[in-house]
Amino acid sequence: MLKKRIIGVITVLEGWAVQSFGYKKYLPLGKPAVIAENLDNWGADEIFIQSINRSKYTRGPDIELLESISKLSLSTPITYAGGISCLEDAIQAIKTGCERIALDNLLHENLKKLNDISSTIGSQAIIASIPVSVQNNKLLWFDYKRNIDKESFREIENIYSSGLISEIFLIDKNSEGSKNSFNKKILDLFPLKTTPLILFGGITSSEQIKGYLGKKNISAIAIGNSLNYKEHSIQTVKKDINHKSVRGYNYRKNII
Amino acid sequence: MKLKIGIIDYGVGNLTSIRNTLNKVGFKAFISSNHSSLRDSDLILLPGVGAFKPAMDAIKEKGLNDFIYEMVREKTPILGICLGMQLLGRSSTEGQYTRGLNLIPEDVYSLEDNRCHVGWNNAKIFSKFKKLEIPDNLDFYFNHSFAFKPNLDFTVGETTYSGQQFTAIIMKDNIAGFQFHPEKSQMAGQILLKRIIFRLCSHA
Repeated sequence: MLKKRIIGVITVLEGWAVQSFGYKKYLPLGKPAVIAENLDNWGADEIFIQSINRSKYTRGPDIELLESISKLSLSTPITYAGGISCLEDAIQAIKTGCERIALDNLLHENLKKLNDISSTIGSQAIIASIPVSVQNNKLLWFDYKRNIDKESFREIENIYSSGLISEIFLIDKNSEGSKNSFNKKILDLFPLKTTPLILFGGITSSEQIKGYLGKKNISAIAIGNSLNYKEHSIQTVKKDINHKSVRGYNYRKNII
Repeated sequence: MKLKIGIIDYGVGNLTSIRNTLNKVGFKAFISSNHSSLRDSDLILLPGVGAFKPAMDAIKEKGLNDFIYEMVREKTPILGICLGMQLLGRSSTEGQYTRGLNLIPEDVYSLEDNRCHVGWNNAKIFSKFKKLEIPDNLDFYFNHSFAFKPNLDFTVGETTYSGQQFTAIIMKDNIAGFQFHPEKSQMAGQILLKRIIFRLCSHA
């Protein structure tokens, strides 16, 4: 059975891992490589590294960051997001140290380039990152680079139906960094009902995680800040939720 | 002395991840597209992450197909991972019909409904593979949308996703392949990777 995943998110700003609050306020946490090593040791199902502001200032992917993490020889799959604007960027990121990439800005800017990336590295390696908010009972898609909210989700519907991506990283932009605050209405209003979704932003309690994992098209829950508060937090989360669809917290015992 | 693993650089693939994992578990791994450097390897590894046609085009452009055939003739073990395993096959329809290396005379098909199979899933390992002493039904990390059909002559492990079975592990003489990423499957993957490389090299 394909397991649902608990993903550890590392948000990186100017080379430092940060605690992010609604992508507006940031508190430093330390070196991203140290946090990645912890998540690997604690048995995260995947590590999602988002280097923010890379696209806004056209800096390209943070290869130095990927190199520093790659040197650790982590055995957990890594997804990288940030600054990927063309095929060369995508290939370089994967060659350096990730298995998948997440794209945000390119979804608004250049579908031809998305098509080039998908036909070369494969749709299985591409996640669409979609920050959203609910305002006046309407779901809005936030374009980070242009600082605007869009009402139409037609582009992402076309992108998914064309087979260019494999999953959507659906971010509750306003709840990101807050406790137990993921807005339930997002799932009701999000138009793609069967697309595999990774939910992120304000999902912290076991009950909340368990509830969302029970939904058929939720393939993973991504957790950022709250994993950094205590040792072995991934195992603790898995033990608390005790969900049959999730890889167990004591899976290592079965191996040797 | 450490076994030397030559990782073929055909332009795409998570090359550094594989090299670092192999070095971590006790091998001497290096990345190259240079035939004479690769020729010096105890085992040739074809990595994954990518689409079939561009990967096959790049392999041909660099003359790596002829090099791989030469290595097979010389009984050098070959290990393919994810797309690397699929490239060992006869053909794939990913993007468009494309011929593969045909070292495994089977075709690669799209998963039903063009689904992507991403995440941790268990692999049922057939009894003929039990010598590796890997427990059955361990979880490994998969990331693909194409695969070999199940129960082929060379299938030694299978996985089921959404009711559909496919080959997860192949073995034919000194050629082996994983549809999943052992280098990214934590402890289970590392142990399996280490054992299969030793097994392939001890039979070479």
